[in-house]
Amino acid sequence: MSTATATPSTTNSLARGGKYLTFALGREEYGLEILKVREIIGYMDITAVPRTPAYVKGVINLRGQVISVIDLRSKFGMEKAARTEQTCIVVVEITQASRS
Amino acid sequence: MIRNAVDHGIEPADDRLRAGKPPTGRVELKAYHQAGNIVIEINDDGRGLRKDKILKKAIAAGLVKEGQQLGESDIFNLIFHAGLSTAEKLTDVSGRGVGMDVVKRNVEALRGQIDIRSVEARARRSRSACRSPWPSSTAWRCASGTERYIIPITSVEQSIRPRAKQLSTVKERGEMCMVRGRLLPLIRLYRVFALTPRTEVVTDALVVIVQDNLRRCCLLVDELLGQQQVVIKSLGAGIGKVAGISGGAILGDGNVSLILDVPGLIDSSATTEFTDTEGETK
Repeated sequence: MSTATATPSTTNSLARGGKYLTFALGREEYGLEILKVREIIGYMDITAVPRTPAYVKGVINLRGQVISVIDLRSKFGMEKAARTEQTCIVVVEITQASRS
Repeated sequence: MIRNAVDHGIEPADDRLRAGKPPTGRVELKAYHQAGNIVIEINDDGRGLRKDKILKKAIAAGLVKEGQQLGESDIFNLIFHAGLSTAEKLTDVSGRGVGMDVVKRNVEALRGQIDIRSVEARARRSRSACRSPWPSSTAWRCASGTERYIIPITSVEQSIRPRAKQLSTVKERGEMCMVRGRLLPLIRLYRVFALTPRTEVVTDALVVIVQDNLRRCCLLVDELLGQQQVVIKSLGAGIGKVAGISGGAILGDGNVSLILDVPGLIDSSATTEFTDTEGETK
């Protein structure tokens, strides 16, 4: 399981026969297969982890489970943005195979 | 494993009466702390492990050669091999040859250990203890720069405020600290993790002497914040293994703190020291 910070728009659009969660990242809009999305949570304090790539923001405690948070802007090489009220963490499920 | 104990361990009521046991079987489940480990113990008063039977199956499965001498614990460990089942007939729950190997793999994935013991006395008891070195009960919290880390209490020997005369630099081994007549390598935690410390002056900081049962070293941190009960978790799957960090701990306030991997830090000290020496010669 991994997470991403992004600014979401809560519209679920119907595309390719499936439901997608779409969110805004910078001026672009991205979509995530809704079945992969576990939940959307507000931004919280993130514990930085040393010796990890810059896009790894750190780890958070999600109801007793430690999960990593990935900064999508940084991962996609976008410029940093100040955290706003809209900034949130999308908790997504990733399978063993796709983790690599 | 409980299913296994019930189906493999507990014998039919007739057999039990013949062995002089009460007809109702008993499976005990115990969980407790022992020396920083969590031990889960499953006991049953069933027939115990049949060494001859396990060995026969193992030979048939090609895991052991005929005539090979094996100790008792070696034989018991064979049941953790995939494809080995001693159940005579297939039931809903056992005899499928998957079971103990899966249990072992899962326990090891949590960095646990699994032991099995069996007593072939009248009471016949088989006993398994899974111990996991993961959730250590108490830990020290330390600060380096703005970050907080957890050091397992079993790794900490003592902490001192170093004096200037204790410090020295040994060629190609980097900074050392003399503690009670022993010269120990000094690891500056903030350098390992690329942090900005409160002070770079060693005599203003704190040295924590840590050990991994084999080696000792001095870990330089800003301060110790006291002991705390922590629940140890693995880091999220997205990160994988991080050098110097063995996991995350959830603190009382709900925040996550990282746990220092003491053996890993000692391993990395060689390279850290080398870089330090390089920096000084320039």
